[in-house]
Amino acid sequence: MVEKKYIQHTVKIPEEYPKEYRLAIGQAIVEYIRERTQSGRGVGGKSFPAYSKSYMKSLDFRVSGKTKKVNLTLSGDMLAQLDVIKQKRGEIVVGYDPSDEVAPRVEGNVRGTYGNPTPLKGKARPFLGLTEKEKEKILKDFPIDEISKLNEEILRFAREKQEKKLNSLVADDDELKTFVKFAKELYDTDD
Amino acid sequence: MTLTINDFKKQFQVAAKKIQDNLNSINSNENLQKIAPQIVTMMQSRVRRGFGVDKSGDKQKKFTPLSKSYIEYRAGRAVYFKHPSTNKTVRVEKSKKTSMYFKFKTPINKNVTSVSRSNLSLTGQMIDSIKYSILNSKIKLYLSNPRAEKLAGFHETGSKILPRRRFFHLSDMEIKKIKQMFQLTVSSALRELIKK
Repeated sequence: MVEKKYIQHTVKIPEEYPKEYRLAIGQAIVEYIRERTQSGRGVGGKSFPAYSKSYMKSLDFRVSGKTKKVNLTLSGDMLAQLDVIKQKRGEIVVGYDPSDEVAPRVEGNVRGTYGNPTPLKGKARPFLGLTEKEKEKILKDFPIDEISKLNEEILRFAREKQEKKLNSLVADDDELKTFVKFAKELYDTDD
Repeated sequence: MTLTINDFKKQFQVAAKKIQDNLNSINSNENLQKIAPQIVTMMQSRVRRGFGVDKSGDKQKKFTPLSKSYIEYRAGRAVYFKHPSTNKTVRVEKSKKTSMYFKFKTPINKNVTSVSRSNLSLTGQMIDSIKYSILNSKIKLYLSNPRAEKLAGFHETGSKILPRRRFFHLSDMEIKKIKQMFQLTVSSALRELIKK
């Protein structure tokens, strides 16, 4: 089982933030880390160590449309699984559950182990975390002097509506009622 | 600042309307135009990495491996054909002598597959032909040429001589990623609202 310290990151925030704020801030942190990583930057904007030549020559690398830019994205599953794990007064934990199938991959990148028992020198690609400066930038969107019951209600309303809307967007193989429809003709083959 | 109940209600209603409008616009044509090409790329990349999906929402799984004889054919090491008189499958291995009568050229496009990779790719045309269209706020995925459509149908249904390799569906993770794309547009608008 992967150790939590490698796959989870605790962000300390002012205790004044109520639950709805913490959930929204957590979501903002997750989106920020995903976007930063996909643009090829790690914690604090540092660039990641380059990919090995053999990896860049691999078929998986080519067919995934990857370039030299190190963005920890092959299938995209690892970053998609990044989520808010828990929140309580004064802190938010983002990262992965140890039982998640991508957890070993996360640990491999964070420590630079990539399947080895010990880290490979200069190969760690820490992407899970925030510097104080980055945290301040995110918190600017949630001004502490604007915390009010009204904003809290707005955040709750938005979260609930958003969840409902996103859950209604389901890929469907047959029915034209969702956001992705597949060509039905495909199944009308003569085999 | 203390709000009266009426002020609170009014301001909340204004914000709620903005949120609702924003949510309604996530399947606007403009937004879908940004997302649809990414869905196509996601599916093409997954298939070429060698993973299929049985039905939308399922976990992706590795395709059934290629048969030994098909690998030999792809490598250009042997050809197989049905003997006209015995109706039995005959294997012809590449040699100086047999090369005079048979073509052993490898037909694979090495940019999209390898000799032994089971990823529904030989020349790459079928998977390249996955396209999208947007109609009535919905994205439709389809195969843009009849030959690819027929081939894909064979893979989807399988047969006595061809293992089923279903691919034309979205996996649980792909659906999750698409939802995250939609969510991004909503989140930024919400932050603007809170700041005001």
